Amino acid sequence: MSDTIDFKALGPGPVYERMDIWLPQLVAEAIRRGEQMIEGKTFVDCRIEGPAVFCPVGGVSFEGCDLGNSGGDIRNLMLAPLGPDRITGAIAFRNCQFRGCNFFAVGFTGSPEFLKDMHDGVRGPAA
Amino acid sequence: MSRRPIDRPVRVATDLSASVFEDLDINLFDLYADAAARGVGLIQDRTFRGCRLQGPAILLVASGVSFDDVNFGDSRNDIRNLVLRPEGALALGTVPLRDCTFEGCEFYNVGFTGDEAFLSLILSIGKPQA
Repeated sequence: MSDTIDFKALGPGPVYERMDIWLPQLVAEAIRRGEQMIEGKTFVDCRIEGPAVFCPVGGVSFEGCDLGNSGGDIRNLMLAPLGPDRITGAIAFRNCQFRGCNFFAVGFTGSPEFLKDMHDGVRGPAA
Repeated sequence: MSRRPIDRPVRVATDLSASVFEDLDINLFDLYADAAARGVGLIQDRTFRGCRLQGPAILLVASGVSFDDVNFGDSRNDIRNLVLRPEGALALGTVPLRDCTFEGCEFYNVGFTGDEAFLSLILSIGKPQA
């Protein structure tokens, strides 16, 4: 019996539909392909699972998504970066669309504008 | 004597349920997933010595966690680049740590968050250079 768990590869996309997306696996596969971030992907009706902190860096949109169980306070899903130059440890997404996706155990960080939009309930594209 | 910098060959940890890790390389998500699979939703009661710990991950540093002679990562001369402040009380999406000891370790692509006491502590480590 193997003592390791093999996950079915998510693949390069660019469209992922009705899939369970474990974000650490998505990142690991992207890194193996030499990609610096998750870019140019479309996620439709997917379950997006962490633990991970999501960082949109431009051109990211959410349509009909559930960003997760916030415990009644959307701020529980949000982390504000303190650094002036970079955000370390989060997963960067650029030019990605999320439609009808459900997020689990995922936090969000990014620009002050993005965090304000989240707080205000506007889940449009990031700045 | 300091264990850093860690320049030994890669040695990937295989027993992720161990309580002590020494001179090993550890993917934090794998470590968390192993604990979660055993019904523990955090990394607790572990000691790490001379380990390289790999993200991407943001660690939620709770009570009983100590760091001694560690490299928190590439901060580009400003420790704030490694630090996030939770907007709410829960900090969802992070990897919680409790009662863990890190000695002579190095972190790669890892951010840090916690309560205000922890944030004050870590921010006091390094000041931006003029």
